[in-house]
Amino acid sequence: MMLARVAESLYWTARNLERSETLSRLLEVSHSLALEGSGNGTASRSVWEPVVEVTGDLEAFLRMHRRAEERSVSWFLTFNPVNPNSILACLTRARLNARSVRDLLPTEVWEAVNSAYLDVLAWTPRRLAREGIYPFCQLVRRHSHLIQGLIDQEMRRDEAWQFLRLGRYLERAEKSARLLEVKYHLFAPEDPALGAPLELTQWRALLSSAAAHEAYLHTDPTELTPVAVARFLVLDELFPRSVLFGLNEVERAVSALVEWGVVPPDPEPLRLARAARGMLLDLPTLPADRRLAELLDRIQARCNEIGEALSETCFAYPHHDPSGHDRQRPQAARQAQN
Amino acid sequence: MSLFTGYRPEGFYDEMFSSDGAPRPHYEHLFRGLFGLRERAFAAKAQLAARSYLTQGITFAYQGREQPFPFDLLPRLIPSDEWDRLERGLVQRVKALDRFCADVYGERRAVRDGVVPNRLVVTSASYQREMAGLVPPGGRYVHVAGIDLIRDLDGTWRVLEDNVRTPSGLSYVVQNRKFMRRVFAEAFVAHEVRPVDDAPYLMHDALSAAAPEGVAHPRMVLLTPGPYNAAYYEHAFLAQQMGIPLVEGHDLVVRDRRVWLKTTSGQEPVDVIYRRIDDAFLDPVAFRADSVLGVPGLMQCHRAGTVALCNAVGVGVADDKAVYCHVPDLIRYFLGEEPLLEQVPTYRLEREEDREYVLDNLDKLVVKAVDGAGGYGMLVGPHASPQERESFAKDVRRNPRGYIGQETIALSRAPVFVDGRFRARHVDLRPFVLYGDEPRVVPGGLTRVALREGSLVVNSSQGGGSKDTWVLAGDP
Repeated sequence: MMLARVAESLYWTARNLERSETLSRLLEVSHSLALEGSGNGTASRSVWEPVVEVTGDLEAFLRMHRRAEERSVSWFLTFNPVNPNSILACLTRARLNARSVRDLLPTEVWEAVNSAYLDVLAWTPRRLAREGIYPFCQLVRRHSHLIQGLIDQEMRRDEAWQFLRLGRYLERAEKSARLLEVKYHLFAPEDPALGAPLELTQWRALLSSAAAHEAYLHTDPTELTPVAVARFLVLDELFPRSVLFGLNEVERAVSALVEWGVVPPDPEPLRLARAARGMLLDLPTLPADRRLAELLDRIQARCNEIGEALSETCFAYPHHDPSGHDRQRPQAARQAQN
Repeated sequence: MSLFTGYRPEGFYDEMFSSDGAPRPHYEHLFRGLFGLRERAFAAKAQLAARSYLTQGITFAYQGREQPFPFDLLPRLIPSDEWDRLERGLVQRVKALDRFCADVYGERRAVRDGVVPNRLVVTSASYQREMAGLVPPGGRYVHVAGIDLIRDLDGTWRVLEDNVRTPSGLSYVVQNRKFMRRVFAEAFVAHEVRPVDDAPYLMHDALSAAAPEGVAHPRMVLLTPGPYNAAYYEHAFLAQQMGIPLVEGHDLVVRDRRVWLKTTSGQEPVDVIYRRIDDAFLDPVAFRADSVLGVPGLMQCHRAGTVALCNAVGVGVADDKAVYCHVPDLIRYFLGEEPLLEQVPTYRLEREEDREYVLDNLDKLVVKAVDGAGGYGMLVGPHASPQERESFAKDVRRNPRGYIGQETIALSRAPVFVDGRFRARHVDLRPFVLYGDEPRVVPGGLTRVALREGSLVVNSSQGGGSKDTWVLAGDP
């Protein structure tokens, strides 16, 4: 048995935590890439613009900043209050969601989420400028790993854990596909001369931003081509940040919930997750060129549909209004607790 | 130099030291242990505790912001024989308050027999017409009570006020003890302290006993106003410790005169609701139509007897501060016993001579709104400005039923660690009584501290802090 509101909060806790980790990794890799890569002029287009694009808010960004460069993008992705997907915004949401279900989370898990938020809040833009982006990103990732470790080591694999798993891997599958799509456009355009070692650094960076570089080398140290990298990030069944791995986890989580009767049998999210996975498994080979971009696009669309189907089948309660807590605020605040 | 250098216990009753400056016998061990402790060592412990409270989110909303609940590491000690007397008095008092509620919404004997004026009951802002003639399951009204006790100049314990609507603070009692064990374990040496960890179980028992008749394993929930409420931390803690779902109004729905929980797989019935929202917001059909916190149709289910509400709706008549004056008589009337706990001399401002006396002496007295809570709606005369007194006097004249006056009590003080030293600050004590089949008192309770020098207001909603409270088992 699980409250619909609680299930939704767990799911969003995990999604937002995962998102903050992805952002910090992306930011860190981009920094090191910009340092040695192309001179100032091109770093903007080849490094910083794609970073903003992966987060999905390039338009909003360009309304505020003339162009994407280190300072503006770092600020945008870490603290900028107008960015609803900054690291701070993600952690704030993760904490709010976790707080509303803290009776279900082990105390140490809640404490770790709260500490992550408090520690990030304690960083000032000045400190970010002084100490550089690296210690900040490392802090975010360490917190994320601690939280994840506690979740995995302290919780029963019950409904609550399955909803956390669902949120984490759906977010990851979608972001891995997006990361690849954006970079692919930039470094392997139309041209079939894909094998060219031209942008080797960029491909390494792409792997690193998915924390996949070393894992990739274990599978295939000889061939660092766009197609091979893409195949790894999309189709490797054993690598925990690949798209396929993520979709597998999503399917398993929903299956467990169905089996226990927590969600009704044969729900739409399960059907969609199976279809998305089938789409990847049925491929004879991973297409190169534009068809890969289309495929990645379709995967992302499918991930979004899974998310929507979850709200409709699992989180639905009549007249649900996501701003509910804000509406409750004035009344909630004045209930006497004498 | 010790942590107590410059400590001045005189002028008030001091919990730790007698008037000659020597530690009281039951504080002897603790004093000796602390005397040898360096300031830096103690400060480090205090800092560790503060940090833990923040990361655990043990917070309270103060001036609209979420603040860690300030915790002082020097425990407040109560000898066992003293506690036993208090405990008997608390049990007696809560029984009488519960019987009074049953009587108000039932036979009205106490009113008929002139123990409490009828007018006082029906004009109470907390009186709920809805409840007249409705007997809640088991006939119990007060399941959870927090009774505020203070000590005056000569150390006499007195009841300052009763809280039987949604008393808050039990979570801090349990957590304070947990953090004491963690950061100041050596203080426990040579003390035998009565444990408080089973408080959530006692509460669970009290709530189970409230279930509708015939329900052997009641399904219970804790109904919270949500994360924006000042005491949200406590709601989450208690739900977690009792192993019951923490729910908001929109998680519940009424169908076929039953309350149901909305789950991912459908709806499940609910038997007992421990609610932490005010009566007026419980059910927009029965009470305030604009409530977004409640459950439409809840009262209809309650009337049908399918769901219990804890504490019962309308119990606020019993902690109305104008009814307070009559509690000793209610104890005599319902229980046939002499009250075991003293009260604070109180003036009812509806009575003309009382009112004139109080208004003439506003600079010496305390005036409180009868339904006020959390340190709001209150004037501490000696500490107020002439303008504040003037404006309060106007309010009193406009609505005399709405206020009471009390003698300003010289609250006892205890050492509190402030800026690297122990300094004397005023304290009170809120013990918790959990009433299932019989009232059970959690040993000790929440010692609240007025952190500002000289302040008499200890409420956490006014920036107060707390101490762990030790009831010592056996002789010191």
